Amino acid sequence: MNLRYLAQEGALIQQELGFVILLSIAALVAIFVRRIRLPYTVALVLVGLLLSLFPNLIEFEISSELILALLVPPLLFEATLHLPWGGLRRDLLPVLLLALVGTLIGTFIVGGMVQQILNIPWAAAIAFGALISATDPVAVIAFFRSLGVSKRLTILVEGESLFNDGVAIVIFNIAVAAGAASANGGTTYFSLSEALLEFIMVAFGGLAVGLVLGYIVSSIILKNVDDHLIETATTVALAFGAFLMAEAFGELINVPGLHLSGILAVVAAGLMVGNIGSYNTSPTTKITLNNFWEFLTFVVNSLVFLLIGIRIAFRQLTPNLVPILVAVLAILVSRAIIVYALGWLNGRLQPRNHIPTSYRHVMFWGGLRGAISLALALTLTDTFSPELANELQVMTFGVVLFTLLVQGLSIEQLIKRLGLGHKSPQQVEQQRQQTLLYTKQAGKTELARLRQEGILSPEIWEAMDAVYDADIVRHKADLSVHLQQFPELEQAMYLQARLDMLRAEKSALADAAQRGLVGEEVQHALARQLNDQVAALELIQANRGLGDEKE
Amino acid sequence: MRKLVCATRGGEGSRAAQLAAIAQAQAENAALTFLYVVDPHSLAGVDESLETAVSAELRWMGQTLLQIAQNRARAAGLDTEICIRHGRTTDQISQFLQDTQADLLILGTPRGTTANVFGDDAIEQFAAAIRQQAKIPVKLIHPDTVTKLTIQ
Repeated sequence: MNLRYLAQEGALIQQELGFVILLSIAALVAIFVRRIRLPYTVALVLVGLLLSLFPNLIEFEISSELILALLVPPLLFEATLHLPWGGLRRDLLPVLLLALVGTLIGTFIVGGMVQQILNIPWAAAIAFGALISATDPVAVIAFFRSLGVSKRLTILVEGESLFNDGVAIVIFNIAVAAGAASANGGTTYFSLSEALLEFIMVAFGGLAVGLVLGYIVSSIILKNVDDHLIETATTVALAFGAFLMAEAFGELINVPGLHLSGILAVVAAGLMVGNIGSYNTSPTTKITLNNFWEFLTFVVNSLVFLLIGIRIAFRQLTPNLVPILVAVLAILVSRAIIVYALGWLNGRLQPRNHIPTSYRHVMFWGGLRGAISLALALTLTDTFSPELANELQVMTFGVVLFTLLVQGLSIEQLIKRLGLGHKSPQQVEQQRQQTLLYTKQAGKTELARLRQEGILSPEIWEAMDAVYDADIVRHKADLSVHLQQFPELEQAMYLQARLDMLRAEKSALADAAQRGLVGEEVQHALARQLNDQVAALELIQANRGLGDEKE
Repeated sequence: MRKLVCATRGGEGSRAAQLAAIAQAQAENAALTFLYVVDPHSLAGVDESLETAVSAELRWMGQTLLQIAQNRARAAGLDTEICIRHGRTTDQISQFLQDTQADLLILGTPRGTTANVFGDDAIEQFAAAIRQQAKIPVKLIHPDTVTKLTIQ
């Protein structure tokens, strides 16, 4: 064992120790927030702030490449797993408008403002504009769930966030490359058309790689292998593999220098697994998958929030108050322009699917910044001078602090004032009872599958099946009693069921068209009719509670 | 034979109103009709282009709700009629009561205050309007009214 090896081993143990401490702090924070009504990310950023008071307390170094390659993919992959394509498709136009056009506009507004007011070099200003345009709705979504905000608003906010993360990272990388060329003494030549072309190629190329890999994993491995450990491991390989394959695509096809967006590849792959792959897996695998990715996101989120706290000394915040305030003002101005202007444009393009003004208020104030912005800020030290990188990191941390502490903690009040939180105690109870019934029935189906495959002996199956039946009967009776007490829930149940039926009819129509059973003209006419029916039903649903003058 | 009409839309007081109507029809040996009115204009924000689809969906919902009411009556051993009308709710209910020469209209009331655009006494105003138009008494049933049906 030579000295070099010992030194390496010592550094590794130091890193490991740092990791263990960070994880322990994260666990303590999580235990603490269970007792108070505070979103986890808000608590984490507060602890990060506390850590910034003691800059040398924990030694944990991670390179910028590792941050992008190791920390960012799990965050995005987990979020896409729960995004239903059906809901996303309906609002794809506003989501893409906000994520593509909005992120571009936001980057240039924020970049332009900080460049003009703070006199920051253009490449660094644009890099900051891009990294701060990535929204992080984790804290907002937590409130959405507890307040019972509509699925549509949730999809709009989550969908925008997922795609704008990818787009922001692509713009960020272009700006950082320009900054690096400038720092290396190269001419600061910048062509907007070339950058746009590169942006389109990198973004769509990345999406294509993710879609193909996601489809292969979903339709071959997840469909044919029934082992929760193998399937979960495959999704891990997919998340990181999609990232690496897109980033190294040029080398794979022998075109040096060609890079595709690894982040958008991860987003596309996650959408595939969440919407196709998860239907091809057993309930056991679904539970393992969800638990595993939830855990990984918890670890990564914790690391990112705490790492930024370690990197920034608390005393740096006060002297940088002006840049922080400028950055906060810039993100608020850009967010207002993006949400209200693009919301209006969406209403002009598809009047039947406009975004209500109340939704726009929530989308504006709910545009929090979080892990992705912080992770990207941590990578700035490689490109820009230490002073400039530090200033941008402090500004990022300041913005994240502001959005999480001011916007994050007031969004609940806004949602309530706008009347968007609808869930009554009886609705919560109905949901609980329906979910119990649903899960018991899923358990019974899985039991039948195990019996069919000969894994369970007939005696055990029969006994367990009888217990399940008794459970199901009991839950049905409980639900029936609850519905008798609150008959209005029957109407809500009807509306939801009818909506599901119409969606099934739409899916059957698409299937019939794919098989050639129906001509294009008829298909379009029927699809239009079904879309109208869905829109009508959603309108009725939204109006529920109005006009209660007659029962 | 007395004719009772129970107008329903699946809200808070719907079950209580239906059960009360069934019990009264049984007690008086009266004929009972469940009525649902398709009124797209009662909903806020109905686009002209969506009016047909909204009417169709309201009709679908009406058919289901009336079916539920009829099944409840059948379970209690009572045969009932069901009817769906299109138009403004107040006008259509009044018109139906006059057309069928009904003797009583039974309506369910919301739980607590309605807190809607019609104000807190909206249901009373609605009932008064019907009384005035159709010259027929209106009975209001609160959601917490318990009616035990005798299964025949």
